[in-house]
Amino acid sequence: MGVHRMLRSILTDAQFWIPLAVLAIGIALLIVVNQV
Amino acid sequence: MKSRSLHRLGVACGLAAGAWLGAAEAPNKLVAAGFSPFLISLGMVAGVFLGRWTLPAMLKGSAYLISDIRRTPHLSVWAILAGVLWAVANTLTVFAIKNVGLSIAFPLWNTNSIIGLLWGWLLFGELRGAGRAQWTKVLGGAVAIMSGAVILAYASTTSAASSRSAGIGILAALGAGLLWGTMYIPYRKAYLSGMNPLSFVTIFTFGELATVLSLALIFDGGYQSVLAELRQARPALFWLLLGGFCWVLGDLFQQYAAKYIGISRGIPLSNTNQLWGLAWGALVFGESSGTGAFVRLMTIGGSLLMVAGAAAVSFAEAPDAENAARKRAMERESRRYGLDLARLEASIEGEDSLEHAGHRRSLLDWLVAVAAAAIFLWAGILARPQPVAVDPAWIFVLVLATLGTLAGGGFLLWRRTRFS
Repeated sequence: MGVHRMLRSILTDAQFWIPLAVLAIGIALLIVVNQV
Repeated sequence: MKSRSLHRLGVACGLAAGAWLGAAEAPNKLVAAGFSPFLISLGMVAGVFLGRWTLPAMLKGSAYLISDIRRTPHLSVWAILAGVLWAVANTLTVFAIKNVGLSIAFPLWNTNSIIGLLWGWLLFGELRGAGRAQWTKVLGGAVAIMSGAVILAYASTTSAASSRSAGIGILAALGAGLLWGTMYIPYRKAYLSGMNPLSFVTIFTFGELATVLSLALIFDGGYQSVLAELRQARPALFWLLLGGFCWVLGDLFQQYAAKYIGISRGIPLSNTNQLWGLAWGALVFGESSGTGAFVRLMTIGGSLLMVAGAAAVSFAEAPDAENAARKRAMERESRRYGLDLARLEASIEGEDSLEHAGHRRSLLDWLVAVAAAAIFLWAGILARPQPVAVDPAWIFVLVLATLGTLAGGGFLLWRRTRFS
């Protein structure tokens, strides 16, 4: 599988976006607890 | 019969993971000695990095790992993402421990089993087609875990110095649970795609180390400040590296549990680390002394409720219908990423298709091992006793018990799967 096709398969995989969204929440939380 | 022996193997790996993940949290107590949470996390992850390179290289050899990674290159992206999730969650746990204590924070972030269970069911067909008895065990266990978490959260608000810091601690611990529960999506995806857990963790560790280093640089006052703190923390570095190394052993067992019994069962089992964490916190560090009897009772009751829930979940062995659902999830990966379905099936049954490819340990593998040992030795020479009171007798007992799980789990894995 070529790199381009591989990347397209990953980016169009709905399962990929769930951990990414959770990661964004985690980083936001880290900023909050560090400031308090 | 085959699936039953794999179920037992997965259960053994989950329990061994609990022991080692619990032991790994003990060095985090050094937060009390005044180091920043980011530095503690960085020190621990440095130990993790050493372990995650050394153990796979020693068990299988780097040539084997490279061949395995080349078969499923797309999983490298997933492994790095999982590493980033782990690192952010790990840093959150340091804030949690600082604000509410290890024995309270531990069970709270262990709600990751509920999150993992949800993802396992939703994305990978876990528990699909399972009978009423299995569902009762799993749902009953899930409710028990949640109830235990609520009791412990209540206990923490009555015992902590201020409700504000307790709130921050609880938020950080629950956030870590969310991230760690979601981190199992890449884990399960990798094992449904036939990857060896040893290859997965080797890539995973890049995302992990890069993130922790970035967090330390961003939040801890930049490069100069981190370097100065590292110099100051040198006498404690050995303990942090050791904590990270223990974590690697726990995580490896956890990876094998996720592979052989799935995430909805594997996570609750490895979450028995909560019990080990409680033992380290209370017996070695004397955390429970000085709190009221009622608060102590709530802490123990809440923890036991969570463990009972986790046990109920883990005794639910997957029936045939559920295995068929797992196969459908595997077919999805096979179609999307062009993988050979027969190889994926063989891999999840514990067979190692690269076993006869003639991969041997190279000079590079031995160099990696020697370098890691030298770093540990260097940190060990610099190590000084930390200003934290500990009970040596309990340390001996807990170390012995933890080593027992390593010997047992390692032997079973080698005999059944040759670490595949």
